[in-house]
Formats: sequence, structure tokens, C-alpha cells
Amino acid sequence: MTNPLPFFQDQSKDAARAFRIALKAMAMPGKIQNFQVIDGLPTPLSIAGATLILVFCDFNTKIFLGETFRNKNVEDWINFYTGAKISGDKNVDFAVGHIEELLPFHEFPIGTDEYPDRSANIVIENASKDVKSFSLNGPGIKETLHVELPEKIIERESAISFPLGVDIFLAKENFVMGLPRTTMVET
Amino acid sequence: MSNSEEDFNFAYLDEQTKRMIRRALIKAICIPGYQVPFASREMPMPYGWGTGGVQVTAACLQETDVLKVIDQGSDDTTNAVSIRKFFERVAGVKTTENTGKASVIQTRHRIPEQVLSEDQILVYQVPIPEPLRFLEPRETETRVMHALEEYGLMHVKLYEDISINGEISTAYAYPVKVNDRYIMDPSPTPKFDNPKMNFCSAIQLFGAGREQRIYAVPPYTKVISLDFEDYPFEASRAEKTCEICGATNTYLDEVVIDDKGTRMFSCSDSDYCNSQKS
Repeated sequence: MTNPLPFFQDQSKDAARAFRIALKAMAMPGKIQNFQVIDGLPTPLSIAGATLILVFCDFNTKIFLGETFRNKNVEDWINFYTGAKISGDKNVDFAVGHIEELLPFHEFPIGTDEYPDRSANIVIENASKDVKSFSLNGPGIKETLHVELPEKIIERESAISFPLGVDIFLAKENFVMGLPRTTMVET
Repeated sequence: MSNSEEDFNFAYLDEQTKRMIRRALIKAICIPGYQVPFASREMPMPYGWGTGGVQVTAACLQETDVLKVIDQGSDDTTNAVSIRKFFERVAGVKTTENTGKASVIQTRHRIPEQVLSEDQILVYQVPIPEPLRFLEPRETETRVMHALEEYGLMHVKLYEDISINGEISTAYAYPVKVNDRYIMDPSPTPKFDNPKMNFCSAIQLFGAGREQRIYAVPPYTKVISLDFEDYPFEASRAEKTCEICGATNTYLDEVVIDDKGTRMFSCSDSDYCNSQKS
């Protein structure tokens, strides 16, 4: 028997725990949360990126992968565990990649006036590269937060016109931070 | 070892259903006060018994959670007892009546008196999620009204309250504006509870099973009750004292205690009342 592909140890309970971390990340933007470690994931997928895919994606979800993530190992892994359709265009529910590969964000669905929820969740991998200090305000933030975010995050403005917009998870190793459309990011 | 029912998936719902609900919950958190449609499932209890809240709780519960369920503030009424037993059985989670010890609180129509913390989730059972529904019955229209932020009708309704009754007589399901954008129904909580939603530390999630809607308020979010400059919002309560614990600052139930119509007032939040008594 070959080794099973890396996955949750207990699908139901681990997914529940991971969802709660993801929910907290989005409910309290700018605060770093950490997922449980999963070993041996296909590179260059981070634990956080992979966990978010497992929590939110299935055969009803379309995923966009950044160029460096489009390899057989990553695609096979996503296929095997989620059945999600990997899409070549940006008309998707979920996107994973380095920030340069995902820009411009406004090419992803941002929802419609009647259904602003029909918008993409974007996972920015390796989010500690080329960072700059920003101040964050908005729902879920008690007092103004000062955090280091990728310099190009400021370009998300073009994809947000509240209540329309994209919602972002910043991922690095097993760490995750939420950046919903409601968060105001200023230099 | 948990003694939960082994023939069910953890927390009853199958994983695909949970993912669908979780996707809706994340969007609900990202668009505070907006009603996200979701494919509500049949639950082993009738509509009107909190199937929306139960599905949201099931999608959120983790093994280590401590669950509290209240019905009109009380831990020991039928709806609360049956839902608490349901999750003890299908998720094997610990349950409590102590507000401070709970990590997830499912509620029917009350917000606990005790201030909630960042580590808590409050799940509301919602019968009619659309605050504009009794003013405009067509879903297609209310959806456009929300899209255009066309909320004049709601103010007319409150104005009519004043012109007929001399005050805003809406006492429960009192409309709120969330994050300066969406008008939201806080579920039929008494308006006494509305101020607790504003800048609340806990995550507030709302589930309407029959109506197939989920909405949410993240922590530290502005939730303002609608009013007029000359008729400001008032979080009213019965001007009495709890006859069990003596509290003068809580929401009270009026209870008929004999067949001669004698009444007493007592805290609707049974856990808070017990904690004040001892």
C-alpha cells in the first residue's frame, strides 16, 4: 500500500477546528491565527493555504491557481480531496497564489448589488514577502491595528466598493490572517 | 471518550453540507448584516424550532466546545433542553448553563445579561430574517431595496408607530443598521437587548432554516437601532424588580402564578438570576 496523501487526521473534527480558526481570522481582521500542522503537502502549497482549500472547497467550488501552484502534485491533491474544478480563468469562488499572480484582484468576481456574497475568497500565499506597515480599521477591529502586509495589498482597493468586493486570507506556513472587504487598509 | 451517537457524522450534518454552510458563514462575516442564501437542510425537528440556529451551530461546533442553549433567556425550557440534548448526543460536546463557561451559545430570542467575550460565539435562531418582509412581501423587491439602500419604508413604519401610539411601540425584532449599511432584523429579541449587539466582543451568527438565510455581525461592529432625533431609541424593560434575585437592571418576564391572576416578575435570563441569588 502506498502512503496516503497528506490530509486531516480526523476529517470531521479537524475540519471543524480549522473552520473556527478561519472564521476567527475573518471576524477579527489583522490578527494572526494558526492552523494545525499537516505534513508533506505538495509544494509550494502552505499548510494554511491547503487547510483553507480543505475547509471551503468541494465539487461545487471553482479554484484559480497562481502560476507557480499549477503543477501536477498540487492539482492531483486538490482533485483527490475536494473534487473542486481547477479553472484557467478568474471567474472562480476561490483563488490561491502569490500576490503577483493574483493581481489585479478586480478580475475576480466581486458579487452583484443584489448578491454581494457571490464573490471570490482569495488566499495570498507567502504573505510575509515584500511587506510594509499598514494600519487597519473596520468591523472586527477593536482599536486601530498596525500590521505588516504585502506592499501590493493596497491594490485590493480597485476590487472593493462595499458591499461588493473580494475577501482575502493571507497565508504563510500554518499562519493565517483575514482581510475582509470591510477592513480599511491605510499606509 | 465521548459517548456520542456513532452512526452520525460529528455534529450530525455531513461534511459537504457543513462546507456549504461554512462558505455562507464566511461571506456573512465579511458583509455584516447582509442575508446570505444557503441550502437549508431538513433537520430532525420541525421548522420554527430553531433549525437555522441548529445548522449554524452544527457547522461551527468543534470537539472542545462547551455549548449553552437558551430559549427566551432560560436554559430549562423545552426548546433549549431538546437542542442541548441533541448536540450532546450527535457531537458529544460538553454543555453548560453557565454563560461565562460556554464557548458557543445558541439562543432563541434573548442575549445573555452577562457581557460576552471574544472567545464566544452567539448563534441566534431566526424565524423571519428579512426586516422589510412585513412592509414588502416580495423577496425580489426587498433584495433590490437592500441593494439600493432604500430604507425609507422602515422609517415610515416607525413614524406610523409614533403617530398612532405616541411612541415607537415596536418592542421586539427592533430594526438595526449594521456597519452603516444594511438594515438587519436582530431576530425577535426584546429591544432591551439591542444595545448589547453594538460593539459586542463575541461573534454573532444568525440562522433562519425555513427562510434559508444566514447573516452575521463580527465583533466590534457598529449596530445602531433606528430612531428619530426627537424620538430616540429606548431600551425599555418592565419597571419592576426581579422577585427572585432582586435585580433591577435585567429584562423581566411577567409570570402568572395562580388561578386568580396574581403575577410576579423575574429575570428572563435564568443563569444570570441564579448567579445573583447565590
